[in-house]
Amino acid sequence: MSQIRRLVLDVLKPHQPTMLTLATKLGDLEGVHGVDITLFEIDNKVENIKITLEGEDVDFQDVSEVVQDAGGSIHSIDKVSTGRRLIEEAETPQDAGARWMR
Amino acid sequence: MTGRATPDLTARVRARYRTLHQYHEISGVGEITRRYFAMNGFDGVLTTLGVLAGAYLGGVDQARAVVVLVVTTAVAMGVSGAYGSYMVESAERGRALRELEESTLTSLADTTIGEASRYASVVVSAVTGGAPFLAGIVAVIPFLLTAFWSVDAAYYLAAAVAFAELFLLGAFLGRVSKERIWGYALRLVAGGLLALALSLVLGKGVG
Repeated sequence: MSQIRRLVLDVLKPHQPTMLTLATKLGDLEGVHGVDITLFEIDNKVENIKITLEGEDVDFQDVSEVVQDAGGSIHSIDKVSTGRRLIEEAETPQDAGARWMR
Repeated sequence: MTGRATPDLTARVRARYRTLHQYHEISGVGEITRRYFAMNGFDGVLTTLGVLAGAYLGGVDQARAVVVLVVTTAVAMGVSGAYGSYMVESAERGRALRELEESTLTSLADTTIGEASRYASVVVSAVTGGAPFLAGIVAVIPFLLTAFWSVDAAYYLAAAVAFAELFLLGAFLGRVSKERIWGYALRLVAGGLLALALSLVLGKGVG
């Protein structure tokens, strides 16, 4: 079975522990080479973040446990890339129409 | 085998320390424990001074009796402080966690923040109970050494130890507030003198 190379998650978490702690713990996972966390929204109790992980074999179960341990909940898996090579989303003529709508 | 065990033990201890440090940061327990330490330490010293004044005026001239009086009072203060503050702190933190769960829509009981809340309740109760207990125990030490001096002298030494504790508590507060240490220290000592004077006056009045 092919391994997950890139994973993008939409996560809601409380302020504590901070993104720094969460990013460090995710970065320590086996098979993860890099982690990026971006803040999207924040209020006085919780924050909405996007977590991007890349590696040779990102284990979703491990990532999920770390996020849950930090009090976060995964709202959606926004992107996943697997296989021996990382590829980007292919452009199609239909995308131009969708982009116009955006 | 011993050589192999030591690095593992050191690594485990370091990991545990890091975890507890994280709980400490998340729960913000530093400020509360400083406050309760000073407040309950002060209560403990003044209560001990009151017990010593009562024993002195009551003519208690057995060192063992004074030790028993002070230690039992210290234990009662310790249990009261620890038990009471654990109940209060657990209730408050439980409420805060439930309010947060309304925003995250998940249970936080088994997460880092849930564990940090439980850690905070234990630490606060240990400090709230430990401070007055230690204050009493330290002040009664002169009565354990009456082989070297009389019981009468032990009373004066115990009072001196209690005032030294007040001075150190004041110095601690001064350091915490980043103001002059002497100001806080002398104010706490003055509080102790007032409590002792009132105890002695009232005691003499009753007796």
